[in-house]
Amino acid sequence: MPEIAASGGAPLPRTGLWRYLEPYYQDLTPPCNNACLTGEDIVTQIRLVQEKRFQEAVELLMRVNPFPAILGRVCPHPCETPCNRKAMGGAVSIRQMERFLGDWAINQEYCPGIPKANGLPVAVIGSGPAGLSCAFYLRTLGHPVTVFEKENLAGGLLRFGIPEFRLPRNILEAELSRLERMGIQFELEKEFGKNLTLKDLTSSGFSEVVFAVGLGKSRPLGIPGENLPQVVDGVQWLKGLHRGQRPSVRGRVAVIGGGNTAMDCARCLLRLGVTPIVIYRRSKPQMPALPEEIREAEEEGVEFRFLTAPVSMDTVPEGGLRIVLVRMKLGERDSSGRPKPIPIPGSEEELSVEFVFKALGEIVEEGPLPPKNLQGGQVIPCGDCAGKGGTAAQAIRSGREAAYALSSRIQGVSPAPSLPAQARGIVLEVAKFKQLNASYFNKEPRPPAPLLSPPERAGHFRELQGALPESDILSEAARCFKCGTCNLCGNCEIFCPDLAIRWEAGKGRYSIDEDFCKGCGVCVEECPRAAIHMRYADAQ
Amino acid sequence: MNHLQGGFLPHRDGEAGAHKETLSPGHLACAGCGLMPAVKLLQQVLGPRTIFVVPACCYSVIDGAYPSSATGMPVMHCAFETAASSASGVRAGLETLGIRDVTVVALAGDGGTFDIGLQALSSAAERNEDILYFCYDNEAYMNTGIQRSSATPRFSWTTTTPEAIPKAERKKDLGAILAAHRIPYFATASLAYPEDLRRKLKTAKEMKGLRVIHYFCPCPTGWKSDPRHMVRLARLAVESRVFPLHEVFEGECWVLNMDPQPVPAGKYLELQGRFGGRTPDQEAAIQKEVDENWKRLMRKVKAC
Ligand SMILES: Cc1cc2nc3c(=O)[nH]c(=O)nc-3n(C[C@H](O)[C@H](O)[C@H](O)COP(=O)(O)OP(=O)(O)OC[C@H]3O[C@@H](n4cnc5c(N)ncnc54)[C@H](O)[C@@H]3O)c2cc1C
Ligand SMILES: Cc1ncc(C[n+]2csc(CCOP(=O)(O)OP(=O)(O)O)c2C)c(N)n1
Ligand code: SF4
Ligand code: SF4
Ligand code: SF4
Ligand SMILES: [Mg+2]
Repeated sequence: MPEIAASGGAPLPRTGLWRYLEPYYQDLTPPCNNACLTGEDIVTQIRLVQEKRFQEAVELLMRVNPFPAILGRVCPHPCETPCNRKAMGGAVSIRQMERFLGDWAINQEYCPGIPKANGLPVAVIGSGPAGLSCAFYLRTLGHPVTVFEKENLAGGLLRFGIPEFRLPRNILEAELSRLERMGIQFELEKEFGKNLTLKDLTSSGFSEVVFAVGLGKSRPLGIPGENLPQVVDGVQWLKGLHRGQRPSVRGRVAVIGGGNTAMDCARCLLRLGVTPIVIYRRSKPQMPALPEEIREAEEEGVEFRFLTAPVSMDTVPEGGLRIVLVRMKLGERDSSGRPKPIPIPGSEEELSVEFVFKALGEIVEEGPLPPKNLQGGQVIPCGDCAGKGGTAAQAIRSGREAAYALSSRIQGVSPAPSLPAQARGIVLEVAKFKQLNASYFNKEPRPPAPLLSPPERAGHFRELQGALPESDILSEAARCFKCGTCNLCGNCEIFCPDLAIRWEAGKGRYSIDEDFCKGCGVCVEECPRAAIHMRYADAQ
Repeated sequence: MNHLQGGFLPHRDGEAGAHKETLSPGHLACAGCGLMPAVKLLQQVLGPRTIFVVPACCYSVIDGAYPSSATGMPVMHCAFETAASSASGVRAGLETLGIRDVTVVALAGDGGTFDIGLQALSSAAERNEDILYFCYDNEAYMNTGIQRSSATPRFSWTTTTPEAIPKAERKKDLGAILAAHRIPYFATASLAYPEDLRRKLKTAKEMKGLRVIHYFCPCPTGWKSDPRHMVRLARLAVESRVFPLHEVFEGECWVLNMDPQPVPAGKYLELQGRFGGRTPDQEAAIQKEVDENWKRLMRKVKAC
């Protein structure tokens, strides 16, 4: 074989000098990550799932959300709404993937690594998602934690609000037991302000206290007849139901409201053989309930009367109630950003029912929060009582943030940020569909989640929605575009005409050799997921 | 495409050297040249026991001025019209030395293949020389300043077919010409389908006799296109059926490799300044020609 003609030849020129544009690697924020209420790094979780690295996915997930099996069932999943995959077959089943990981963690009896207890115990008041999340993260930050709960069971509205057909109680128990395995103490039937005071906490040696007491008081209807015995408080009624009481409601029942409480009351009533009529003063698009709950309630046969509000209620001799209703029209937007309902004069009508359910949601109960905390500083509230959102996911985020804030306050140092960017509030440019190179993706349909048909749901409280099988979870992971995040597909390297893209052995990434990149932009154009961008060569 | 799934963590660290390229950066191709990624793939598939025979064309400049060479493998520069005959000579020389494990690659442009080198190629085909002839078709004489060749498509601007009088003749059908010679293997290839290109190079490597790969080679300089659209054009050419991907075995068996959802030829034309002067009638005529060519090809594919 002849010698290579060029051996010992002159060096090749630095053709990178021709360049006036230069590419650079920069991951963008995927829309799902940006929309996640808890701040999960969804796309990295998906990549781990795709490689069947479930344990690592769970570890990453639990850095921001200790209850994936719960949120994987009840979260309103705003992450799926902006999913770029929507344009090509439907949004990725992100919530189902979270549920899959949550159930995996339960089956594996997964428990995160716990540091040795420091000498700074913290008391958490309230065991709803906010308090539980706060306790979980305080424990992972080294604090011994005790949760005080006024009820005889922990869980807050996860247990006493959300019905079993959406959140089976064995799932709730399984996720709660993980906290016990982490060494978190629970003191039940301890109501702050009654059989528990700040003094008790101080004398028991707690360094700090966090309040996660939820809302606790139903919003009043504010109309005559409100205090009649046939007018039932929806949240309280659900609580009784979830305690196993089978309340003696029957016949036709008016449920007043348009939020989750109204939907869950109506759907529970339906399962008990009662006929609920939901009365809501605005129209369907303005309902605060989760769209999927509204759809399912409709499928199940719940009757809705939109643009209708009660004016007064009184008893009739036969025993039921007569409600006077008025028709509404939508006016200007109010402070909630929704069109204000305005009564139409003269449109009154009557409705006869056996009971009326007040389900307007809850408001903050006056009083339980003390003015000062154990250190004489400001009280740290989290979750619904801090006005943080109104969903379990937001309560979880709020609890986590309180844990981090509190821990750094009493330890005097900020905990190492092991949290994903989104959870730390770092949002870069959000990757849009048009920035992706769609040539690399086929249209592939989203698999439908198993769901009981409306007739199959009647008469029991068993879970409605089933789990996607592992095969579907894996194909969903593959269907995800990985928007804005380099997954090392290697396209840029394959197509670079100038061999300017190099694999950095040991660093697990590519880099661009500026001595030889001519700035053609092929890598930028052919990156399927907008992880490389172009700027003027002197921009840096 | 499986390479798109990507790995997660340093999946390549274990295979140190697996990605070491033979071709060097610092070569003289224009920014966004469609040829260079193909040369990388060619070298990856064919391996170090390869000799390049290069007639006058862009690549003879790209490789660098003597004594430097970016190819990293033996290159024999030869006269414009002699790619196939020079490669035949190299093969004969190796034969005489008893060297049998070397692939001789003729790397020639469309001018050096469709036009001035056609006679040499035809003779090599007749003798069924054991060479791999890789024609990179950038559809004009780019090296000398974008003159039209018989591979230039109809209604394209070149410096010898100005916009007011664009090229009137259609492109030669190289596949049919070579099939008529009954060579063992002919294939068209596009960078937009790197797995397909790799597979074809591998198929060609493992065969004996004259193997010709007709590589569709976007040229941002000569096509007046944005360099960043290089792969996009390679993809659109296939999707619009302007450049169908197919193989011909023994001049007899025609196989279609890709049949994507067709897009109008206009989508492909509109990204290129060389078609900037086209009239709607001309675009319709191009579409008609594309459709007819596709039908001609499909007749042959179905006959097998
Ligand atoms: C019917 C219904 C359905 C819902 N459905 C969904 C849904 O599908 N998805 C979703 O994301 N969100 C849903 N929500 C909202 C969600 O449940 C709440 O936003 C969330 O539970 C708030 O969490 P929290 O921890 O702040 O409060 P809570 O869950 O209200 O927990 C507060 C806890 O503190 C305890 N407590 C109160 N006062 C004291 C005291 N003085 N001493 C000791 N303990 C005390 C309470 O007993 C309770 O256990 C729903 C709410 C309702 C009412
Ligand atoms: C006999 C002869 N005529 C003309 C030339 C000048 N010449 C060198 S390269 C070239 C054009 C090559 O065109 P093509 O084969 O398409 O390759 P490209 O430059 O497009 O890569 C010409 C005309 C020459 N070198 N020899
Ligand atoms: S395709 Fe994947 S990365 Fe993109 S928004 Fe959807 S889930 Fe997120
Ligand atoms: S493809 Fe290569 S030469 Fe072109 S811009 Fe990217 S790194 Fe630079
Ligand atoms: S082309 Fe692939 S490897 Fe290159 S930046 Fe984009 S995702 Fe990463
Ligand atoms: Mg040419």
